[in-house]
Amino acid sequence: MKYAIAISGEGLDAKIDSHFARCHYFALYDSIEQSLSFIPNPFFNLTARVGPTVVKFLYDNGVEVVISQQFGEKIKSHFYSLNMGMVIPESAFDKKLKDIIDILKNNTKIKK
Amino acid sequence: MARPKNLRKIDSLPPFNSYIPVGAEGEIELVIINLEEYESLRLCDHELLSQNEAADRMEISRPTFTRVYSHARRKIAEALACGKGIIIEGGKIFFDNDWYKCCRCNSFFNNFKHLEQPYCSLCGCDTVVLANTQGASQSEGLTNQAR
Repeated sequence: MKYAIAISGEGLDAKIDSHFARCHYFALYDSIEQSLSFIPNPFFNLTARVGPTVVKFLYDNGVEVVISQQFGEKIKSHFYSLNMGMVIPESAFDKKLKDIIDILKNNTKIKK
Repeated sequence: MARPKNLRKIDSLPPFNSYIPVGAEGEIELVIINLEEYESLRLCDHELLSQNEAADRMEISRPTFTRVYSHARRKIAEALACGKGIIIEGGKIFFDNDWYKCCRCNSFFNNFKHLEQPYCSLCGCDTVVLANTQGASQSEGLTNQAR
């Protein structure tokens, strides 16, 4: 399963971003290959409809689950329509990417 | 017998659930704000919605919304004026769609695979509870405390 984590910078020490669609980077974690890659958010400065555009972008990249500090009311319907998962970790504002990756690595259900 | 309260829809949880005055020493008095009161503040004063629009978003009537909102403002004012801490918890709430809370990692997630027995998308734990029911059951004790 492919995860996208909204983060504020590049690297494992980056914090989970508070704005899903306007985050600086996405970390893409593939639970089967256990690989991690970073992509800058190309729609960071878009003035309108940034949320739906980013959701579609992630969907096209094969992402099934997105992890962020929060998701706005309008954006949720786009996730629902594409059958994508949303996760809000506990104390997400305080968590770094490496904390999330550690949890995902120990998740045995998503390795098949 | 009083009519039971309808559940109020909330969109997201606060990033922090407690605030304390910087520099305060000793035991601090606390003000408890329910999640629905937090949501009313967020919608009106952060998203700048009108009370009508915010009431629609929370699926409650406009007069009920006004009551919840004024409680929230009164509690915030009390905390600011008297140097009290703020705790945000409890409330008669529900989340949209089917959202669950993991009992191990405490994360919130939606059941996007529509499984009968969902598991946590983050840690894979099977012990999960519907976020709706948790919010509702928390509320009973906490509303009394808040009063």
